[in-house]
Amino acid sequence: MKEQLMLPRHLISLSLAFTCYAEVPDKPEDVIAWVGQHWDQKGWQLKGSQNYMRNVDDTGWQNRILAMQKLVQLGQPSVEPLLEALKSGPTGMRIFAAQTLGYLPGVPADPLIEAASKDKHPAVRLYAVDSLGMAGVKNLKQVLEPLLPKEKKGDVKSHIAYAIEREGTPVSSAVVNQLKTWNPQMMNSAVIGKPAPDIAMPTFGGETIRLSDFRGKKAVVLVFIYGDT
Amino acid sequence: MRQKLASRSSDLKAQLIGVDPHEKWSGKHLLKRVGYAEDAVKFPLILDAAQTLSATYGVAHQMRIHTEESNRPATFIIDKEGILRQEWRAKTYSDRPAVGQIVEALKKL
Repeated sequence: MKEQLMLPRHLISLSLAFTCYAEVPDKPEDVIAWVGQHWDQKGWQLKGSQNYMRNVDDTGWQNRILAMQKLVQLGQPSVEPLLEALKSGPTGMRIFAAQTLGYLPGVPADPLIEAASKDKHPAVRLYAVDSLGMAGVKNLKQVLEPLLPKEKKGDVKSHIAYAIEREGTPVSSAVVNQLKTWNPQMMNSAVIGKPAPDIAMPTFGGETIRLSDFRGKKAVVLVFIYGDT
Repeated sequence: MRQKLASRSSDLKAQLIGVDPHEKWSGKHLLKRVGYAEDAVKFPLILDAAQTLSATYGVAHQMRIHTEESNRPATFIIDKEGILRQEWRAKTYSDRPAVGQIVEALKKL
């Protein structure tokens, strides 16, 4: 794969990130309306045959991240508007709501269970399952196992298994705080020739790791694994 | 790719680090699927469940190959001084740098 000239795109993306951050509204209903307009559900279309990968120039994904962060920062007041979007929004918004609810406190289980079992779109069902797990709902085995025979999508089934494996363990406050406190100016800030962005991150093995742990010692190959299971 | 890369990068004294935008319950299954038993992982796997590292590196929410809004697969090479020196961002699902390309890039640092 040829190395691309990255610099102009990054400058464009950085300036757009600034603009978008300034635009994110302050009330949950407004944030949801905003992301509905600025996260392009149709942005999956590439010229040609791929319809699962956004164009490298696309920046709509940034608005989705910014909106998720803002809603989680706003906290409890975001729950009702998101539940409303989960129930009756268009597909893209139901997906967004199902995913975002997992990071919020005090989310009732029933609407998520309803979405996990009845929503037409598998992404809504998958994220509703995830969010039930993240909410720390107990006895998910009883709630989710009955969905398995009817569920056709393999990934949704896998996520049902993961949610049950949690055994009621909610998402950690560290993860929620990471989303709340992330500086949006770091959006898309990896630029060749500049210091690689560095954030302290948890690992599967339980340790915390930073790129600067390797400064002066080793080069690092950082691989963002095809991020779906 | 990851198993080969894991062994080659230790030859070249580079640290391989993986990033998965999930919590550990699915991270564990990812590792199993790419061939690692839980206790045999030879490289750190960052769990980016808030997707903040992924958003920082500009890969978040850009691929929907199955169901999730998942990360665009990408590889970054950072030198010993912490400078980003090379990157590959997948344009299609199977678009990945060959291990040889990564090795060559590391040799040039």
